[in-house]
This record gives sequence, structure tokens and C-alpha cells, in this order.
Amino acid sequence: MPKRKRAALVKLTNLPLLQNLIRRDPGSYRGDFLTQYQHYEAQRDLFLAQPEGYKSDDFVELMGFMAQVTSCYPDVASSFPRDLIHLITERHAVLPADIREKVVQSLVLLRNKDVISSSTLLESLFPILTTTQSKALRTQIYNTIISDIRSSNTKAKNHKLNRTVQAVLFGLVEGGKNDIDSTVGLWAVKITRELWRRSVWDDAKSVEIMKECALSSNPKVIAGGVRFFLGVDKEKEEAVDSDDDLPTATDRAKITYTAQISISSKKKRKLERAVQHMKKKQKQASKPHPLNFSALHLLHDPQGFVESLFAKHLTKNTKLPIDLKLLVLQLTSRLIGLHKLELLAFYSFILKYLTPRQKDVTQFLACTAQASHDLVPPDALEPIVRKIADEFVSEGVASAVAAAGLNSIREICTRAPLAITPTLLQDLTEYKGSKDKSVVMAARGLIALYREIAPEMLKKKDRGKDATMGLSAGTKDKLRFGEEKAGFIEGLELLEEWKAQQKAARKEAKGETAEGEEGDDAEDEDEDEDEDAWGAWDVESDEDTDNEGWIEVESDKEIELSDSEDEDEKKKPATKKARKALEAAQEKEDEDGDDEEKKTKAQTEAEAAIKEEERNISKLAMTKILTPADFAKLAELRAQAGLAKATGTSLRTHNEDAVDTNRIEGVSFEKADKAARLAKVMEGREDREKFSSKKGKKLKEKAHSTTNKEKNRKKNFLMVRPHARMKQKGKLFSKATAIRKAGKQNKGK
Amino acid sequence: MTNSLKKKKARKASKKDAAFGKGKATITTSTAFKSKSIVLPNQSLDPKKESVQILSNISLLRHHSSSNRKTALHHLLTAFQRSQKPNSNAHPFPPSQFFPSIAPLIVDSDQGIRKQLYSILEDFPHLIPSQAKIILLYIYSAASHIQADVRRDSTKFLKLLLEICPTTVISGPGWEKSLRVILNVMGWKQPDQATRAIPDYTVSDPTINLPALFLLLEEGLEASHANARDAVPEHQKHLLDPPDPGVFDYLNLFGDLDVKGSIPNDQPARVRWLVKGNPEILKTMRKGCKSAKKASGDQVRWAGKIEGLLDRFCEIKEEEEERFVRFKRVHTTPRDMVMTMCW
Repeated sequence: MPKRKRAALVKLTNLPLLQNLIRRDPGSYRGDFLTQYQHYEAQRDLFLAQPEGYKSDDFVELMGFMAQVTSCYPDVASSFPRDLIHLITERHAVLPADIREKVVQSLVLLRNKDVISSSTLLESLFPILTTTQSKALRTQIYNTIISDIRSSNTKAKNHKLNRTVQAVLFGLVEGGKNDIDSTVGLWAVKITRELWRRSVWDDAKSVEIMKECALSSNPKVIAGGVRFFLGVDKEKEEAVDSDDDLPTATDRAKITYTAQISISSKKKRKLERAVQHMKKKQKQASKPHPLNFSALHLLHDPQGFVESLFAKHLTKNTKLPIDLKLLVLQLTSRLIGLHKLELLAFYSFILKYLTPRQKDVTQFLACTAQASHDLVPPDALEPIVRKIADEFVSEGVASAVAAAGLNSIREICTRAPLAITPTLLQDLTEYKGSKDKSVVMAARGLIALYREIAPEMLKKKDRGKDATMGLSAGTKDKLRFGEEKAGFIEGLELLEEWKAQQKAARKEAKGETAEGEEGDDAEDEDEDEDEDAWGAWDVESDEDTDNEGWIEVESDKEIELSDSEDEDEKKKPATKKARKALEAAQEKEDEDGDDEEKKTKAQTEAEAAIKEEERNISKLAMTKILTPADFAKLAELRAQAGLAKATGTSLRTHNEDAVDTNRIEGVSFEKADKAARLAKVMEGREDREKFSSKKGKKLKEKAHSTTNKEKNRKKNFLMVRPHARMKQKGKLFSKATAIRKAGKQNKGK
Repeated sequence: MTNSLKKKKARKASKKDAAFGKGKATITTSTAFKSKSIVLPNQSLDPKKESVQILSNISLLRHHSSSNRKTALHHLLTAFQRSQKPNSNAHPFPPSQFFPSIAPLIVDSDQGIRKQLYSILEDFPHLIPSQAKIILLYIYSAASHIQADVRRDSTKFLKLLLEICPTTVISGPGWEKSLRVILNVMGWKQPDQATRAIPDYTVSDPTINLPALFLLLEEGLEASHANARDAVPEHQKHLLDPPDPGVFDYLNLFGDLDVKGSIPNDQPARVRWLVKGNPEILKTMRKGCKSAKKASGDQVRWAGKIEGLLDRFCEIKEEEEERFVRFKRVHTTPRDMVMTMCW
């Protein structure tokens, strides 16, 4: 046949060329594709016939080609994905590494081109992940799985896929639950943790998986599960922070433009730091409270979980290494504190670890503090406090130990104030006179705590001015076990006042233009405004009538721990104060009826207080649902009134925080030894390249001719001396003239 | 003068003038040593060394330079020939190692090497049948290779195999696959495989393709292989060894085989497959033959031969149909297969 000229144009010699042509016009190159498909099949058969000693480059290349173009011919090459899946599931153990890698890559490509579904991909890869011996393959598959789940959850949550994957993971964990040697659960831990960290999964089901992990038998799996609960929320926040913390170039440009400055490197660094700080602040302000979706809060049955954790790992399982036991203990105590659970056996269990010689005793102390809350019977906690007092806080022990003991008692008592007897408390407060500063501080902390919650338990001289006055006025409540205090919104009266002002101002404005219609119109406007306020905020459930949720979010935000002694009375619930005042007045009346005048005065005072309170509460919080805009204004007003700082400790929220060991150890005032100081210095130098000045170093880097300075340095002394003398003389003269001038001026005065 | 300056000067003075052509030549051959004998390592006849050489030559068959591949092939050939001689003390180099290692050259991009390989295979017709399967796989691979000349030469190799060991080629899925492969190389496409916008005319070499196709069809469709078995009475036939090692391959009992196209390994089944199952292939062949007849010389002769063959088998006779059904009934269950194997 005659050779046509055009044929030379498309003489196919390599696959990329064909791939390009097929992409442009799949219809015309169908025949060529079929030939290549045949070639692929031939290569595959060859490979299967003699796996070892086979030159796999062609096969790998062909596989990539097929994966790229199969989507153009779905009718012909439908068996290709099946082939690949078959190849990798049956032979992943014996396949050469490059082919294995290519197969997984091709499968991912096919998934991206929508030739196979996500679930098919995951179903085929999961079994390999848990069975293969090759680390490279495991990493590849793991990354594939994570990225696939992430990408299918980007636009909207793909609940169906998530559910299937979670079911598979749950099955994995449950399958190896009672087998000490099975580590398959680790993959469930890894995947769930990663997806949780990236906020892809944040539902109760993933938490259930981790719960199952924490209750399994293999130490590694247990550690994974427990660590998830202990640290993953923090991790998540960090991940979110790091994602967009870096100031963008445009940000920087904007700032430099507005600041009208040309930037040196030093300034740039400063600016960047400032920008970062600003961003962090903004984010913190806009962030919802993390507890809203924390893993610990999503647990279905915390009591059951804690009981089985305690029974399985702490009391029965004696083979568990101590560090893992400590982890489990931390989780158990955290859950007890957070959900206010009852696990009385826990307290007697932890008692044996509370000796100064115990390794990591601060952590055990922290666990003890975490596990105490106001609903634990004081009988259960008292032995613990007594033991800590006996073992840690005595004359014979080191100051650091005593400080740790006192601090931990303080932490326990913050959460469960009734855990200590007045006599013991008074004994312990004597340590405020210790020689060691850290012990003194710890003792003072204890005093400060009880001044606030139960001053009557302290010695008279320790009570302080405010508490003593409160006691004598009778406004202080006596502590009772199991008593719940009523909630209130702080600074509500400020908001009310402000609203009234606004209303008045509006009325005035209206009154000027048109007098007459008032009441209805004003109210309507008010409602409109309310609606606007709701509309401006993106609210998810408008029908939600109880404002409990809103209040909680706001009040949780204000938690600020402070042990300063000068805490205001303002944070006390005013209703209580008023009622107490009334009661105290009545008591006094019973006791000594002679002082009539005093009595009436107290009574009227108390009644006035109650009335004022009722007015405050009933008007706003009871009649209206506060909008987020209201709360924002409230926060602003409170800040204006200087209330923000005083919002500190309220009993109700303590149990939700984890106890840091730093709080137990306290501040150490011991002078560091030389090695420690040196270590600190070296730590500071870690990132620095050069320690000394850069002077002269630039020249040394390259070959250069002698500079004038260098020449001067080499000059003979005698040559230079006259010049040096001149200089000195000049200095002398100038000094003399300066002195003379000064003398004249003085004389003039 | 400072110390360092002195040193510098000394160093400068010690440096020779490096300008071109001024210095004296310093390259000399040291003749100081004395030796009684000179040993050259590559002259040794140690068989161990030879095995290493064979291995290195095998790996050199994948070298990117074609001349290196050529020499490696040559070396391997000599090593193989030496080892095949009776009573040779050369390193053993069995066909089971030799042929699989050179078979990949069927898909080699260099035409000269393919030619050389062809002549090697031609030289050892008695040794090839045992290695035919692997060679066949490479032929299939070559037949769909992206380079046109590799594709063209693949039929040459196929023809060679059909001449040497036809049974291996047509056993199992081999017959169908070979048929598809040849048709693909010849450019006799079926209607559903839409041809390229601009067809590649350099592929076909009808003087080889047509005889190869004829051989294949003849081997597959003629019932000539039922030779000695015909002497045995019908009711005892099942006691004999199966006529072919892979009688039940099409059942795919051990996985991995490409089941899609496999047909039972006997002549009537092939006929059925062609006539009943894939009439479009038959049609394509007829069409191809018709167009080939328009050319000249040998092509016309071969095309006529093929047409005659197809005419003979274009319809299934009634009795054959019946036999096929019986065969199916008797032999299809895996249990039968196992029992046959036990016998």
C-alpha cells in the first residue's frame, strides 16, 4: 500500500504521545487503545508467569497509561480495576515494590477519575493495610486512605462513606479486643485520630471506636485509645492553628502600606510577630468553646466506660506497665471529674500510690485532684487528704515535697471543699511560716481558697478582712454536701441599664419629631431590633426557646483561674447574699433580742437587697431570650465596668479542667546549679548560627586584597606614634575647653 | 618578613611553571619491579567465573545500548552451545535458563537483534517445545507493542512456533488469543473497533501474516490430532490419559487464568466458538481474504487457502454438535476433573 504523508505525523512510538492523543480524541484512537489493552494483558500474563526476574518497567508504565485513559473507554476496560484489585489483594506479599506502589497509585487515579467508587477502593485496601509486612506499602495505603476520606468529606460530610469506614474500623478493633498480641486495632487508632485531628470526623461514632480501643487488651492499642482521649482535642486546636496561622504576603503588604514604613529585617520580624499575635487573639475570640465537641463529651456512657476501664486495666490487669497504668489512671480521673461520676473504689485504689517515693508522684497527685468533685462523699476523700498531709507535709520532708503536698490538697479542696477537716486545715495553714518560699506560697494558696469558700474553717487570724466582715455580717454560706448553687448572669443589671438608656434616647428622638403614639410603636421597634440581632448572627436553631445553651457558652468562656487574695465580693451570687443577710438578721434576733435598733437596721438592709435582686433578675433574664448581640454587649459593658477580671473562680466549672502537674509542683525557688544554667544558655543558642559579631567575617569568606585597616595594623609602631599622640592631644584640648565652658556657665549662674 | 609570608614565598618558589610546553614530561614507566610470571584474570577457565559471566550477560540483555545487547546475546549463545556439547566441561547452561532469558528480546526495539534471535530459535527446534509457553507470552506482548516493526515481526515468531510445536500454541486460551493477535497485527479489525483516524500502514507484512494465519486455523480447526485415540473403542476412551495436559484449563480451577476468552480445548469447541460465538471474526477474515486476493503473488494463494479452510468449517455438522454436548455433560464438573487426574 502506498505510504501516505500524513501517516508519518502520528507515528506512535511512545505511550505518553498516545495518551495525549487519546485524551484529545478518544473516539478516533479506540483501536490503538485496544491494542495497548491487549499489550497490557500480555504483559500482565507474562508477569504472572514469571514474577521473579521480570523486567517490570514496561508493565509499570503500561499500568500508569491504562489508569490514565481507562475512563475514556469504560465499556472495554471495565475489567482493569478488577484486575488491579485482584493483583494487589492476592499477591501483595510477593509483588516487587515498584509494581505494588504503581498498583496503589493507579487505583487512586481510577478513584479520582471516578472509575471506581471510594468504598471499593477502601474495601480493597483495608485488608492489605493490616496484613502486609512492608512498611512502605503500609504508609502508602495509610496516606491513600486518609486523603481519600478527607477529599470525599471536603464539600459536605459524606456520611455514608464515613459510616462504612467507621464500621470497618470498629470491626477491626472489636475483632482483636481480647487478644493481647493483635495490633490491628492500632490502625483504627491511627486513622481515627488523624481524621479527628483534621476535623473530618467529629461524631460520637469515632469516639466509640476509640473507646473500644481503650478497652482492648493489647498495650499499644490501649495506649493509643487512652492518649486519644487525653490529648486529641488540644492536637486538633493546634492543627487548626497551624493551618492558617502564617500571615500571608498580602497581610504583610497591607500592614506595611498602612504603616507607611520601609521595612528592615528586624522590623519585619517584629511586624510578623505582631501580626501573629493579633491573628491568634482574633481566632481565640471567634472560636467556639472546645468543650462543645470534645471527645470526652461525646462519650455515650461515661460511667460504664470508667467502670470497665477501672476494672479491666487498673484492678485486674497486673501486667500492665506502670506508665500505661498512669495513662489509664489519668483518663479515668479526668472522666470522673468531668462528668462527676461515682467510682468509690478509685479513691482507695489510688491511696497506695500516694507516697513521696512513688515514681511520677506528681502525676498521681494530679490524678487524685482531677478525680475529686463536689459530689464525691467527703468520707471517700478524707483519707486521701489525710494521707497526703501525713506523708508529704511534715517537718522531715524536703520543701519541694511539702509544697507538692500542700498544692495537691489545695487542688482537691478546690473541687471538693468538704474533703478536709477544720483541724487538719488549720494545721496545714501553719506552714505559711515556713522558711521555704514555695511551701509558704502553697500554704497561702490554701488559705486564700478557704477564705473564699469556707472562712469559718480557718483560724481567726487567717480569715482576712473581707471574710471576717462577711462572717460577722452573716453573708457567708455554710458548706453543705451536694448543694447546687443557682446560676446567674453576671453584669445583667448593666445590660438592663444600658437598654433602658437606649430606649429613653430613642423615645426622646421620636418625641422631638412626633409626639403622641408611644407604647405599641416603641415595643414593635424593640421586637424588630431583636429580630435583627438574631438575624445578624448565624443561628442554627431559632425555635430553641431555652436560653440555657447560650448562657453556658458565654459563661464558660470567662473562666479564669486566679488564686489572688484580693478577689471581689462581686462574683458571689447576690441573691444568696441577700437571703443570707435576712437569715442572719433573724438569727441574731433570736439570740439577743436586746439590740432592737441594730436588728431593724439589718433587717431593712437585707430586705432592700432582696428586692433589688428580684428586680434585677426578673426583668431581663426571665422575660426575654438574650440574643448573641446582647451577650456581646454584655461582655463589653462588663469590661467597661472592670468586672472582667473578677469573674474568676466559680465552683461549678473546676471539675471540667484537667489538673496540670505544674500546679502541683508549684514554683521552685531553688537556685539552679551550673549545669542547669549552662543547659539553659545552650538551649537559647540552639537556633542561632553564629554566636559572635559579624565583624570581619564577611571579608574572610572570599579572597581579597589587603584593606587599609589591615595595613594600619601591620604598620611599624614608630610610624604611627606621632599620629596617635596628636589624637590624644586633641582629645585633651577638647576636654579642657569643655570644662572651661562649663565653669563659665556655672559662674554666670 | 613575617613567618606566614615566608611560608607563602617558599610555597610559591616550590611551584613549577605550569605553562604549556615549558615543563619537562614527568610520565615514565617504572621498570623497577621484577616478576616471574604475569597473570591475567580474564583468561581463566574457571567454571565459577563463567557462571558469573553468564549472569552478567543475561543482565546485559537489558542494556540500553543495542550493540551491548547484541554482544551479550552472542556470548550467551556460545555459552549455551558449549554446554550443549556432549562431555563438555563447560558451565551447565540448560535450555530452561537460556530460552526464558533471551525470550524478552522478541519485544526488543532493535531489528537486528530480533533477526539474530529468530535465527537462534530456528537453530534449536528440538529444544523449544518445552519453553514454548513463555516464548508465546512474549509473542503476544510483541504483537500489541507500540512500535510497528516489533508488531510486524511478532507474526514471524508465531509462525515459527506454529511450525515447531503447534499443540502448545493452540492449547487452552492460546488459539483464540493467537487468532485475535494475528488479526490485530494484520489490521483486519472488527467493526466495533473503530479504526484510527489515520491508519498505520507500515505494520502488515502479508507474506508472513497470511501463512501464519493459515497455519493457526489449520491447526485449530482440522481434527487431525485425534490420531491414535481413534483406534480405542469409544466406551474405553475415558480411561486414556487426556489428550492434552490442560484439558480443563477453561474451568479455571486455580484462578489467575484469563477466563474471559478461554474455550474448551478441542477442535469442535473451537469451531463452535468461531461460527456460533464470534461470527464477526469469521466475517472479518472473509473480508480480509477478499481484499488480499486483489493483490498479487503468494498473497493470493494463501488467501485462497484460508478461504477454503473457512468454507469447510463454516457450519457445524449435527453429529459434532451432539458430541460436544455429551462431552460437556460428562466432563464439566470439577469432581470429574479430579477423578480423571486420579486415573
